[in-house]
Amino acid sequence: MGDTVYEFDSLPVPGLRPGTTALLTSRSAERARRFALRLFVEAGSQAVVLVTTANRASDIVTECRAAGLTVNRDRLVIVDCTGKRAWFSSARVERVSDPTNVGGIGFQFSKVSQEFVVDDVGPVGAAVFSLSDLLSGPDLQTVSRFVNTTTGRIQRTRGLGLLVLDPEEHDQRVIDTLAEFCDGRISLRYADGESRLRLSGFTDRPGEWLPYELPTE
Amino acid sequence: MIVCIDPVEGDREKTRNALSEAGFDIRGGGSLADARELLEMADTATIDCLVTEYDLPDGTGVDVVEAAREVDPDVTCVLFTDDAVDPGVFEETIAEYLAKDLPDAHDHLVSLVQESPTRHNQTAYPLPDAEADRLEALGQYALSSEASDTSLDRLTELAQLAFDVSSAAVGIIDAHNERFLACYGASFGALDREETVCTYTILDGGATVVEDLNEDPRFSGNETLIEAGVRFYAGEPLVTEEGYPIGTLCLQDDQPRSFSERERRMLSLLADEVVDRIELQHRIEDREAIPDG
Repeated sequence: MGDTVYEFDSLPVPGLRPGTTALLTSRSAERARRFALRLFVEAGSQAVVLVTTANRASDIVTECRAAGLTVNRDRLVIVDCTGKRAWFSSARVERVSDPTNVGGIGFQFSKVSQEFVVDDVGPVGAAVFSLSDLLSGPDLQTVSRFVNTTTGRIQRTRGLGLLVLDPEEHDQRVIDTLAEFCDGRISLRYADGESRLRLSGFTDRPGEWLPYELPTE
Repeated sequence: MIVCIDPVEGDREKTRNALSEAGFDIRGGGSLADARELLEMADTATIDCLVTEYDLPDGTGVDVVEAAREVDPDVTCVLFTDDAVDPGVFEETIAEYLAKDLPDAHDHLVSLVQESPTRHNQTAYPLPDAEADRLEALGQYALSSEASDTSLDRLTELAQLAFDVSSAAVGIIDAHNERFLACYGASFGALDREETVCTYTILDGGATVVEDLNEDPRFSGNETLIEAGVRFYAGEPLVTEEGYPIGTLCLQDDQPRSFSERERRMLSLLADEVVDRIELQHRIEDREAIPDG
């Protein structure tokens, strides 16, 4: 188990050890979500917990299905902070009043993570779509404490964590501070009809921008 | 030390026994008032973790967590309960949650608590790489403002004059606080680590310069710094011979200002001088500790 890493066959991402959390930055929230879900599929995630701050749970379920994740109430849990009207969902949905209730989000996250541990379900993929909305309310210190607690939880459960952030919306010092709590950063960009990613923090030197392609839906 | 709050004596005893068997010292209570009293009495440097039920006769576990963070912002807090909890009660209060009715719940609790002194998983600031090693290295130095020689006082005075700032200080960052070996132009008592700029300075290899703290989202709401009238900060990490950043040489001013490359170089040289003094004192103390003959 000590040598196990999550491998990604179709993406230029190196093997990541269980318990890794990455800050995933992208100007496009949709592109970040699709990338994150693909990463979970390739890592062989047996269960996934997703925090959504802007897109209703049913839309996230659609994206999960399209990415190839198993969608059922035992294996896909969505912590919905949008406050939008709930429809019947194939996934289990836990609600938090709004994205600024970071303590409530952490509580739901914690509750679900434990249940997966007890049920011996793993590996677990965990993502926050997105930290940018959490930063709209509480101060940076509170969000930092949330991120620290979350990465610790992902580390203990040996899962794979992705925290999404729009780099254009925040001061570079905010981004750098939040990146410090993570094991590394994955940056996405789209230009001239091509998707590219860059890794930093996982090795001593920032990587180059590498092309990647997600399977078409 | 673990502070354990549970209004049901039988449950409190079960938790106490599980944690005691794991080698922890436990202080227990059954209410929010008990928690406040225990937190006031305890030496905050020794509280490793707080474990609390949710429903209390005079409040909730969230109230206990908030009270704990006022005393020690870094303390790991665990809500250990099988009560139905509305996520809406938390707002900005962050704690780990563990369900009491999980199979082997107390084993999970012990694992969580055992990690708390080393992982610092609920701090509001990031930690340097190898923080545990850094603290172990720091522990080998007997550093105090009383024991440090007057050369550090002279160096902080020199820094204050050379850079024409309001104050300069030599600070040591331990697990939860920053304390000052020398300070010229101001008087700083020990500070919670999350209130300091220096805790960010030791993350990176070089100087940290904040030209205007009011414009920096990391510090703009920091009441400690606002009350101290600090608008400008420049700090250089103090790195030991083994490569561990144990503190900073830092400058403060009450006005925003810039800091040139030449000034960064000067600060770096002065910080090297501070480290040389600290290492020299360390070697002298080590030699004096060797018995004669």
